[in-house]
Amino acid sequence: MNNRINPSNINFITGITLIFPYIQTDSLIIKLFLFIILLFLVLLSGKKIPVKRLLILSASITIFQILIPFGEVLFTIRKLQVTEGSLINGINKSLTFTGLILISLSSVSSSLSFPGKQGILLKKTLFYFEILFSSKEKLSSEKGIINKLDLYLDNIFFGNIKAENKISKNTTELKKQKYRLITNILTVIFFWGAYLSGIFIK
Amino acid sequence: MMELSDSKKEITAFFAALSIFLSTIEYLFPKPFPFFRLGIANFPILLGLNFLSVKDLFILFILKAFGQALINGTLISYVFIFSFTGSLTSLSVMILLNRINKKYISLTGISAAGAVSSSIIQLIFAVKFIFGSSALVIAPLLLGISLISGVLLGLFTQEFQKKSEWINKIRNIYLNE
Repeated sequence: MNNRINPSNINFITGITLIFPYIQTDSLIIKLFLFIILLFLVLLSGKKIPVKRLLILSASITIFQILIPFGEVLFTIRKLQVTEGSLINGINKSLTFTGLILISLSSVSSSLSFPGKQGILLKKTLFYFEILFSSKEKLSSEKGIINKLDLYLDNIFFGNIKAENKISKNTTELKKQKYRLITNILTVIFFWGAYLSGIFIK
Repeated sequence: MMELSDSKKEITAFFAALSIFLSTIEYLFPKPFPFFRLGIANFPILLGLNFLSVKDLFILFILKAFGQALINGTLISYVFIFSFTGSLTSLSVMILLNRINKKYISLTGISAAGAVSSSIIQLIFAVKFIFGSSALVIAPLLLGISLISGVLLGLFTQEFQKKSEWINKIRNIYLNE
């Protein structure tokens, strides 16, 4: 019997253990460091970093948060007051969201396997979540949000096999990574260390 | 094209993933009040209410609840128990209303009832276990917001169901298995 643990499962468990300390880290500087580590993890898993998408998302999330002002006013753009609190909140949320995309990219792959019927269901849920999270599918030029959403969901759901093949190719590269297990362990220690040190320093 | 024998599993998994994805999107919205929730993660549940089996609806709910808690970082906190109980009540109320009286209660009504029942349970929990009767101060605002967000989501889902070709295809695949 082959007792070797599936490398994809190891990456998945690593990803799961990174989510909590990453989200809960309050310090922007530390979060930025963790974000950079996540970029490396994505590269190690053999996937490409969607740079343009991450930048657009970060900018739009930050701008969105600025709309609810709190704290000291830093500067004013026309009638919009940019406050310290909302700017920090915006950067924090954009780092959190884009970081979660990176965790998802580095830890979820179609070669994940869990035991039993519910395991298959969980695997499929994670697979679709990754597709939704990292999809480059653009909203169509159809009129109205309902038509756009309809086409978007149709393309994602019925086009899943194509996407699955793409991910499988990537995970073959992933298996070739010799030191991935050590990297994963170090990353988990680093993330939890960063989070816990933040608590104790407070 | 997916294999038909897997279609129920496939559809439930996709709805769960969509729900977790939408709760991630909701996390990004600025909140005027800490307890304010749009409830957009319930969109897949409302969509599935008319054709998913009760078992699959509960599986969808469990996957959504844990995924949501993991994404929001609330899995190891009392917030999770609040949210889980509220959502479970909401789902049960929506299933009951849908199964008992589908003809006379619209999806908007079901959605509103689900949102309000979730808030009521959360308020009861807050009063009983954490904040005491002072939690009742926010009751009118909380219930009002829930009602509005429930109605809006219900109206959107109802409209989506009418116009969407994708949901028709999904429903046919699910029911024909």
